[in-house]
Amino acid sequence: MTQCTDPRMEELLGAYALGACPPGEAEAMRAHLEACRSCARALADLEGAREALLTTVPPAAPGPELKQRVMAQVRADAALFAAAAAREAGTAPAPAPEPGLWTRLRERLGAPIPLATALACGVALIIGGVVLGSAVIGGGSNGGGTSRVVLGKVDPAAAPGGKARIVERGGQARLVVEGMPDPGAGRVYEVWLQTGTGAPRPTRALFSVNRDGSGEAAVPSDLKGVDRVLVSSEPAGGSTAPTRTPVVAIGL
Amino acid sequence: MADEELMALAADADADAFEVVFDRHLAAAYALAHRICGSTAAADDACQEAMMAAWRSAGRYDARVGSARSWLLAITHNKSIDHLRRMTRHRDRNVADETAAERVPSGEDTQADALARVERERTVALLGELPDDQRRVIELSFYSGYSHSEIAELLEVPLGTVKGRMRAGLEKLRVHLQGASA
Repeated sequence: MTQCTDPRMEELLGAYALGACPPGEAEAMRAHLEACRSCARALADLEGAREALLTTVPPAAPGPELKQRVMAQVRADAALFAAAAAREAGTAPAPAPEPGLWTRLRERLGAPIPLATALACGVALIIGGVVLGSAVIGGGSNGGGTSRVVLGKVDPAAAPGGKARIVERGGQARLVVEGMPDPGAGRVYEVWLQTGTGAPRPTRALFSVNRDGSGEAAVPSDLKGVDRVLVSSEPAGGSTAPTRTPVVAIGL
Repeated sequence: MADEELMALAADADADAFEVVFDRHLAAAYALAHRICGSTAAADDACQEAMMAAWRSAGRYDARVGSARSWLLAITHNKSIDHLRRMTRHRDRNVADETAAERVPSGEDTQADALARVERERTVALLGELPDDQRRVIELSFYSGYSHSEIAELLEVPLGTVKGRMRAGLEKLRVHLQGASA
């Protein structure tokens, strides 16, 4: 087999297999592996050892509530996409989406962010129970400009039964929430805008909620080109990057 | 039904199929998350993130590349390390579990602190086969999320030495595994 001609890369193989390379170096290694069969083969040989490390850990039993939380979100996702599929087909709610529709819907409504991107951004936006998905439930033009309402999802662990929607009318967008908990002492909710897999951009929209959990905020930015509106609890005055997991996600 | 078939169904939003895969591998995923995060609360969060990511990325699973179990555990590993690093960046956040607070790697850690922590958590018979210096660099990177340069600084050894120990340790594990399965 042809030997590797870049000893620096060859020296990095063990660290790369263990996930111990910084992002830039890992990217360089991935590019190198595309071209170097010797290193690709060596890395494949190490795969068994790496997999063994994944499983040779002390046993620890999860509580039953973990499964309940995860499966509640999974089923909420499934119901959301089944409903969207039925809506897209113009039919009554369908029992199950057609094969492949899930993938297409995710592409249309907002695909999950790849792990590597989430890591690179420092914020995992598909975490903590936020369902990335939405449904446009109304839209049209009434002479005062186009309007639409986009439903989002609220982390059921943070706000059981919570609701969120974006209402766009005449070029103005408002975020409306219901059933949300208080953001916490000395904290506010902050609205973020995200395009593609980029880092969420802060807005000046900070708000709290009433005793009944309702609240509103004007989204002070054109939503053109925005793929997701996110909301997280932040220190009073807001943050420049989310410091907590978003509890609301609305795919546009 | 095999995991691979179930994952294909999950890719088309079949929650029941995903639940079967989830049940089969949750214990292993949770144990891995707990090993990395060091507390029940943090392991719960990381595991939940990992499982939701797996559900929403089910269409990306490729059975030709590896087993569904390995794929799920790899996601869990990434999420757990990510979680650990986030905790490091936000040390002012409330960490209810003292164990978790202990487990957070930090530039403020002393070498003795970090090594003592790793020593306490040393568990694995497989890793026990390795020389201490090789086992340490593997544990510090794979389970505690340190980069090679951070480990070099922590252990006060040259970076090249750390890289060499990592590679040598993995090679020894590979040989050991081959011998065990022969």
